[in-house]
Amino acid sequence: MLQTDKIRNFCIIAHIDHGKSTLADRMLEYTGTITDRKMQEQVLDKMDLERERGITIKAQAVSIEYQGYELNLIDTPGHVDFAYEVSRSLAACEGAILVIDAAQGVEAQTMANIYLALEHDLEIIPVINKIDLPSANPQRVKEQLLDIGIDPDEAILASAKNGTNIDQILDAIIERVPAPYNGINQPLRALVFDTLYDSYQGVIAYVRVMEGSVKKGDKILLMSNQKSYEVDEVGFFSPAMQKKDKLTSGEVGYIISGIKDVRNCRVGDTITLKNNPAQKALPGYQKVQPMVFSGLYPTDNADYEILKEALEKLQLNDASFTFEPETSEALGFGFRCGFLGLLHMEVIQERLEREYDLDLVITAPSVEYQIIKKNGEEVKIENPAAFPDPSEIDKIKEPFVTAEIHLPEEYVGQAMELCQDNRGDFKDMQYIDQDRVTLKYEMPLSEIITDFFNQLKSKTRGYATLDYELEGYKASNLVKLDILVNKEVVDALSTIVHDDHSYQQGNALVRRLKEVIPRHMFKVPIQAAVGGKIIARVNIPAMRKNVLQKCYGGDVSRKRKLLEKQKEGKKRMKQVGSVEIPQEAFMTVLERDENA
Amino acid sequence: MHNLNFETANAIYIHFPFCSSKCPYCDFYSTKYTKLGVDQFWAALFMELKELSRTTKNNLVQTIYIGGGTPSLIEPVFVAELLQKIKYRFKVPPTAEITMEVNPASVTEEKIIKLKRAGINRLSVGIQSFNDQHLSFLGRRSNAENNKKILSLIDNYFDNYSADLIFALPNQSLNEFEQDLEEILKFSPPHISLYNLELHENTPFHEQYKKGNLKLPAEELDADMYELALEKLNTAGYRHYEISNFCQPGYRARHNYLYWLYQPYLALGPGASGFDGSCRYQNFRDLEKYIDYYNPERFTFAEIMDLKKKNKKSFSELLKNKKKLDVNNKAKIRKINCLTAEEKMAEYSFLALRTDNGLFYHKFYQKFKRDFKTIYKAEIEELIKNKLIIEANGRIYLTTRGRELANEVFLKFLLD
Repeated sequence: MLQTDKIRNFCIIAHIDHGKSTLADRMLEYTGTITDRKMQEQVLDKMDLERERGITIKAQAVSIEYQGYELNLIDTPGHVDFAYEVSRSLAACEGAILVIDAAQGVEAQTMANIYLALEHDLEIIPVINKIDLPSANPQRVKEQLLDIGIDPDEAILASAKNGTNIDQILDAIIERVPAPYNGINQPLRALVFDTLYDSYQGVIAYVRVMEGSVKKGDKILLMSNQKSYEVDEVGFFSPAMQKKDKLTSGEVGYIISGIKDVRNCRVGDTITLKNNPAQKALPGYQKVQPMVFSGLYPTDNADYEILKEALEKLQLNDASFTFEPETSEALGFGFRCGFLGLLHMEVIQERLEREYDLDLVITAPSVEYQIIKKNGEEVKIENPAAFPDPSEIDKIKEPFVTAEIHLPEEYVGQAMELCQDNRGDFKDMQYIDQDRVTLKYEMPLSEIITDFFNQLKSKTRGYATLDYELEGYKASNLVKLDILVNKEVVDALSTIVHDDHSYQQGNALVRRLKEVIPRHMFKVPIQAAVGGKIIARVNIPAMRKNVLQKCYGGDVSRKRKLLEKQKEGKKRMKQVGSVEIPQEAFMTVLERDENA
Repeated sequence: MHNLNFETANAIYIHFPFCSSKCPYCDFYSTKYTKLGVDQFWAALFMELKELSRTTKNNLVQTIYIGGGTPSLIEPVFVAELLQKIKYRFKVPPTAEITMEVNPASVTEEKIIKLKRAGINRLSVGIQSFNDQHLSFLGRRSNAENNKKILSLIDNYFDNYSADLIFALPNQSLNEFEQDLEEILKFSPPHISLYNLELHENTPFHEQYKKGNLKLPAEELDADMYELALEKLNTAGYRHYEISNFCQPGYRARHNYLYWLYQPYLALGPGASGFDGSCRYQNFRDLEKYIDYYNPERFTFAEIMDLKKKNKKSFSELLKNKKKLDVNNKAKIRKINCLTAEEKMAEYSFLALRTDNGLFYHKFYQKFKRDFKTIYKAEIEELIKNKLIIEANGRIYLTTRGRELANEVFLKFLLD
């Protein structure tokens, strides 16, 4: 067994694309943790989706042996949707490597990461990466570091790509990151910082043992829900799982104990021993709640069971994702699903479509509203279609967030305008350095989960970044905006909007729907209504001409195939009354017009 | 591999795959006209004619159609030779319709006369427009002036001919199209074909369209133009006998009509598509491959004996270089696609419905031994309700609205 003072637990934090995963790969290579030269690039990001998007969604861990030390690297998710998971990963470490791109310099997420690291009392080792780039300017980055209160002399200049100065970084980890606290004689307290579901072994809990030790055969207790299990196996990651006799105070590894449901072993929970339990759980546990909800419906109703099975499988690995059956008049049988945020939602949707080959209709995302009825009853509703009649409603509360936008100073005007248009309430503005600014707004979450981020990006030529944190619920003057297609309310197109914006948004929405709903044999009116009153209307004119005019001998089979393709296309649409509505129509609710 | 069988075919299509220049909307196969290419093409074409005619039984040929490409580039002597070769292998009665497509830019009075003498009895002339701007947009090498001149020449020498017009062009006004219609009606051609501009993949127009550099007129204007044409042509005494085709009484395009009646036909030449009644085939769109395949310089017995006497070595050398004509390996020259019963039924239905006669239930039954009305009961009722088709006397046919929205009708008669 290794002495606690020979262990270092650290993570790597960075703004997106500053080279976090490449650096991790080089460290594994340099230390011989991975010898196969042909290892797939970026070992630690495992899912295809992660590789494609260049983000980490699930945390990963790996133990590195170096000069007699055990260096445990915990790779953290890199998106605001997974802020809680990130915080638990950081809580498992004593140090953090802060990677900054030598050409890009300090960015919004760099700042957010520093705050987070400081919050968890981590020793920060700044690494200025990509010094091989022609546009690298390490000196400027050092000045920025000074501005934000980090000693630039401590920064290590490196190129993860070329493997430059990887040894210096490893040495710095040993020298500067404090050894973990030695609590070997105390009762077991192990922090769960991620979980993985394996169909043979059940839940694999990624843990950092804070105090005590755990071995095979121990009876463990999950402190949040008091469930107990017997340990089948403990071990560490190299990066494949390797069995071990025992995990002791300070170490990072995994525990397998026959847990069948990830929801019984949540990130942030504390594992202790049943026979010798700790007095108190580790701080910071939260049961994460989904913040964004949308309806998922199979385009073909026959796929309902397949969708259900797919959702169940995805949930095995993802305790923060929820779903329950829901019926829509327009869309039939489907599920209302809850996500941590928009990225989380997109990831799940993409996995359903890719891994399960499902054709889905996805309704616009919604937040959870609190409705206080006139009779005093309080209900929580996350599906606009399920809103009670306005006459019954006394008050509607919606979730508000504090949004932090980091951006170059020259775009501040446009960003502020955008925030105001989205019901933002200005709180603060701070200069990070002479040309970078942090804006703080209080905003309804519902505004953020529409097209806000895309518009922010486009108004700032991609330079702005956004972070937000839930503040709480506040009353707003909200109304339900209904959409009528051919005089029938399409429940799946209903949204909740602020009363002051209902005309604008109703108008914009019917105009967008006109673009995506194809012409029919008859005129199709599209109307927007609030409380039964029509506030906007457009007509989709009747189809006038649809004919393949030229058709001779050589064309016949080609024309037949064209017709077959048209028919397939029609099948993928949702038939609502006598109108065929394409899938994308249900998402257009999301978009905002520039001038709306 | 299926063997094509043309026992019941009464029509022949010849694809002449050469043009002087390519029109940006056209997706028919053609290559640049060269003397050498054309000579080799003819030799190969005659071989293909020989090959395909093996499965026929001295068939009666009712129609021959020489399309392209630009067949008016053909020297009339070759036309005569081609017709000779066809007559050698088929029965071609004097009443047969023998059509050739001509481009006003590559035809002269002399040629028109010679074509008639060679045996062509119907011309189809690609007028397309009488507006110089639109003609140049379409990449046509003729102008309004020449179009009128050629039309009157053809009218002079040919009793039966057809003129094509294209409408719904970018920036074309209803008024401009009306002028085109009025102009063409001055000649009272026996037959008129009318097409809206359709964009086909892999054409320059389609590329421009994808990039947003080409905008087609709105659906409304397209429909207005079509309706204007129907009205004007009807007033002028034309019969609207197929979605895009109009004729004076007795002047239907008999060759094309056979397509719509789902009759088999031989098709020859690179890129040509034929149908033997159960399989459709398309020759590869590749002139060189075609020429190589039908390498016509095989040796006759006499030639072999002659060569043997002269020089043994050069004979074996020559033989080595010869590719043997492999009639059985059709994969090398064409793609054959045999249709399922469902595909045949779908094709039959939409082809029949293109014509003014529409679809006769009893004919459908004769062909497929299935009752059309039973299979499509709900669809027929819905289409009647939507005023797209009319049912009368054991048949259904398109209304004017049905002709404008024909795809919506055809879609209903595709089986899953």
